Amino acid sequence: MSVKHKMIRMMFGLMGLPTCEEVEQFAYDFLEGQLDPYTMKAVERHLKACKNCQRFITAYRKTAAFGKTFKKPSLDLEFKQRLFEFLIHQRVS
Amino acid sequence: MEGYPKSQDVSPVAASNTSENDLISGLREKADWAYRELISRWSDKLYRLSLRFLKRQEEAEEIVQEVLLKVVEKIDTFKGGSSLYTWLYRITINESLMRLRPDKGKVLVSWEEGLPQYENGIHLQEFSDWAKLPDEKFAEKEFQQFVQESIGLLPDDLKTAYLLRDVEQLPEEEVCKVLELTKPAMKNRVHRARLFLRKRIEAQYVR
Repeated sequence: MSVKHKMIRMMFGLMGLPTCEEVEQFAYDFLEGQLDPYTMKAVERHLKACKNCQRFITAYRKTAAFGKTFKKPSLDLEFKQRLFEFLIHQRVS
Repeated sequence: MEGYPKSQDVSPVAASNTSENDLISGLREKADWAYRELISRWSDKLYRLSLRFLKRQEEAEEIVQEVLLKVVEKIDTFKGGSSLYTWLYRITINESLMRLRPDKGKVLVSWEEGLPQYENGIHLQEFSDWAKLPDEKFAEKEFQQFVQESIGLLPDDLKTAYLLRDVEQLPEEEVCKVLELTKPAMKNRVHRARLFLRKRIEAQYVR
């Protein structure tokens, strides 16, 4: 473990904050606002102190959000009409 | 037989006025209106979901046809214990995944590549700054294609959870019901899928 990592780890430990790995594990619930208030505050404090985790959460948030920007194609009415006739035909055959 | 309504406007109104129990009863009676309602209410949703898996319009249309045929044929075996949508989504996912199986040419990529690396809980790598990636980028065709391809590389369990939750925007409870998962298991799958996609997008677009 590098000196830098040791110091960061020690700092989070002294401040009673989660590690970067724990922040990653909390990311889903953090975004959904599903963490308990104590953990939520601890993650927010970690983020204030850790630029790398800020970047991680920004990226994670955008990754979670872009799914809703996908196009929503729909079937055309002619296909639906054919589908309806097909189902009716199957019913009587 | 009255035929299928020509107006797109019919579906949302009809969908809001017919309860699921009424629709199931109508399907059991093999009523024209119930078939129309089934198509109006579900065909676009099932088409979109199938298209996310298969990417080819014709194949997704075939899946919709197969799924709805299966539903009208087997409606008598449908038990009231779960919702119709749960059943419809499950059949659509299974049929879509069955079609994907013969895709031997698919490049296998380990989803674990997306996992951040740590040393004693501290990040080993520096992340790029996504604040530089404008939201408008998400709407670009090339970006969406890249993401769709990346989704295609995910293992089936992660892909399915991600598509239902983040793309189709189903509430957590519904995703759990469709996939028969506990909430922590569902969250874990969506989370791992996001980590994988984050990593691939970062490598391609964010420097």
